Amino acid sequence: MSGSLLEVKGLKMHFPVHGGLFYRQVATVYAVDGVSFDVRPGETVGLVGESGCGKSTLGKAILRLYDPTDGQVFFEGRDLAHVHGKELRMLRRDLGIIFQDPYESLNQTHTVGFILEEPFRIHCVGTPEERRAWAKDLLKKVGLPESAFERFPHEFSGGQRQRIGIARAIALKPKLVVCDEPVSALDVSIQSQILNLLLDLQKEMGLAFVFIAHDLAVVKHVSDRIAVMYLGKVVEFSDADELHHKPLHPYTQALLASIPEPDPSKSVEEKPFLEGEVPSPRNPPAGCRFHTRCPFAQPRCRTDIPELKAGPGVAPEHLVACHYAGELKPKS
Amino acid sequence: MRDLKVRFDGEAGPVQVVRGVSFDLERGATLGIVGESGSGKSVTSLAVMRLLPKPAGVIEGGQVMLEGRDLTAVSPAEMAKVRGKRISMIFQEPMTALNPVHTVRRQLGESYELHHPEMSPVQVAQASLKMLVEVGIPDPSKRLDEYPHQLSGGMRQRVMIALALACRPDVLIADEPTTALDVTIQAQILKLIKRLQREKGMAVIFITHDLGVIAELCDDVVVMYAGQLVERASAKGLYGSPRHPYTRGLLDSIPRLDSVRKTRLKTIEGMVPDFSSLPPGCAFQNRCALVEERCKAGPVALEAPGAGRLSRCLRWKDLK
Repeated sequence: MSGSLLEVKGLKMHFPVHGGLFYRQVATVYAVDGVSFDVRPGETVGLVGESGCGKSTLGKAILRLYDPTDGQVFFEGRDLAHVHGKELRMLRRDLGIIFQDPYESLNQTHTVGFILEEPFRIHCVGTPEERRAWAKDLLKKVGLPESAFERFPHEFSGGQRQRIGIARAIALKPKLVVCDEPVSALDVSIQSQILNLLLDLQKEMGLAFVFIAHDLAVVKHVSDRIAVMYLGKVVEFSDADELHHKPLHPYTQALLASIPEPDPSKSVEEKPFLEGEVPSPRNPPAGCRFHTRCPFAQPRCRTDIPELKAGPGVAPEHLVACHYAGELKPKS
Repeated sequence: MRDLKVRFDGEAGPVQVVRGVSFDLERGATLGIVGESGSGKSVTSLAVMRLLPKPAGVIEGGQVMLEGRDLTAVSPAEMAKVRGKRISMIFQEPMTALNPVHTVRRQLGESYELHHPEMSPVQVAQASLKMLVEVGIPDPSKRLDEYPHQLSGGMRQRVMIALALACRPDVLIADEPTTALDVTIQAQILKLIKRLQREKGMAVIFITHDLGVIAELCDDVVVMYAGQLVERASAKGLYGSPRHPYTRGLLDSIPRLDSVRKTRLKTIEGMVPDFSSLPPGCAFQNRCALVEERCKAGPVALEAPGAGRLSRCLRWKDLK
């Protein structure tokens, strides 16, 4: 697709499992198994799915924190999956990542100032004085007092630590930031502060986000487009509002129905819900991976893998991977 | 519960983390306790069970009355008879609550042996199997002889529920039972708790930070902030017209599916105050938009803005 900042094509990330005598490879985890999507400059693409669906692995594979098994990741036309050394380091200036756990992702033995100057040091930009000034600017940008500069991460609360993590991610003015569950470890009242900060920074700096989370309501609020993942595959990819109003894949429909809403008129007992659990990505089901839990599954779903393609009766950019998309009546 | 106070003796001196909480729970009803981390909601439930960490956690005052008997005053031996039989508890992380070196059969059997010593081993085995069927575990006879690590998160939580309900308690305390689970599994577990509650007529105290879960499950809601009850109302009343600025702020700050995308969310600025340096007066004063001089003057008493409602706010009338 032209005009894309990031284009992921058929990305696969498999992990070998070793064990037994001689530590041979005994199995493979198909964490990400043939995923394609794109991100345009300045937009947010949400990746949503349950634990084990491969959304975090995908986020890390995009940034080459893992070496993908197969597929391509084009960033401004260059394939991130196959560049090395200096070239990769140069490309990484334009990429950032925010992690879920602000307790584990910040080095406890360094001051906040040191942590924030580090990106500049690694990429050899500026003099020590300049770096210091930039780091202080970053603190202001994410709403922390300048006094934070000399302090250590453990002196801050979860929300403030996440602000430090965000400041570090945007230090080099990247074009794309992968946010891996940035608010799931935070309290409700702090969560909205961080989401607002991300929205403000996006507007101000023209950042594109890949926003990974399990909470569909949060993802929908910040995203322009959303990719729903299930067991290593994208099952639906569409404009965020359209996904909410016209979900085509039965998994998306179930996910939407399962969200507890702050409205006491809707009792949990009247809601449709999914039976069963997510199968293991070590041994994913043949055919459509969702067929073991799908209330509409037909014999064909057990053998044929559905392709991600334009759905019937919806906007052309609304993609869905279901043989019977559009023929299913959403349960209400 | 009457005016419960809990103190923790930490390295930095004693800190009161539950500062006088009172509420009633009727037979068969569901009460939600909602609050953020550090609000004292979990400590309150541990105090009811007399399971506060020792020696740091101390019940300083107040009463927990179960059908006329004060649980804070009974002997440890008597309390052991209440736990599991009259009041049961399920926890957030079933992997840490279950014993990893015992099979499901052994752990389920233990509660029967403790509370019903008259049951024969065969009866215990039958009752255990029946419990697993009731909580919807597929292939229950095989699962009985498995260890917790062989089960998935959702299955473990079902085993926890089976353990808690084995002796048909009158009260079930559920402390964030679905927080560690995926949404589709969460929906299954919530539905299960609701069904079992109706079938067995037990009362449930549901502790969570998720206002969505509370709305779907509870009749009445208690909102806690900094160790105090700040609002109490029916679920309908709370979501329709909150009478405390903290509740209002919480409700406004959740992103909803039908909210307009990429708009700024309303927030509660600032952070929960530290227990060791609580301000005199209202604990929420540093984050409140309606704060006045009188809010800072002294402790704020509970007011009654309507039938069955309570609010710890001097300005609840000014909330839209």
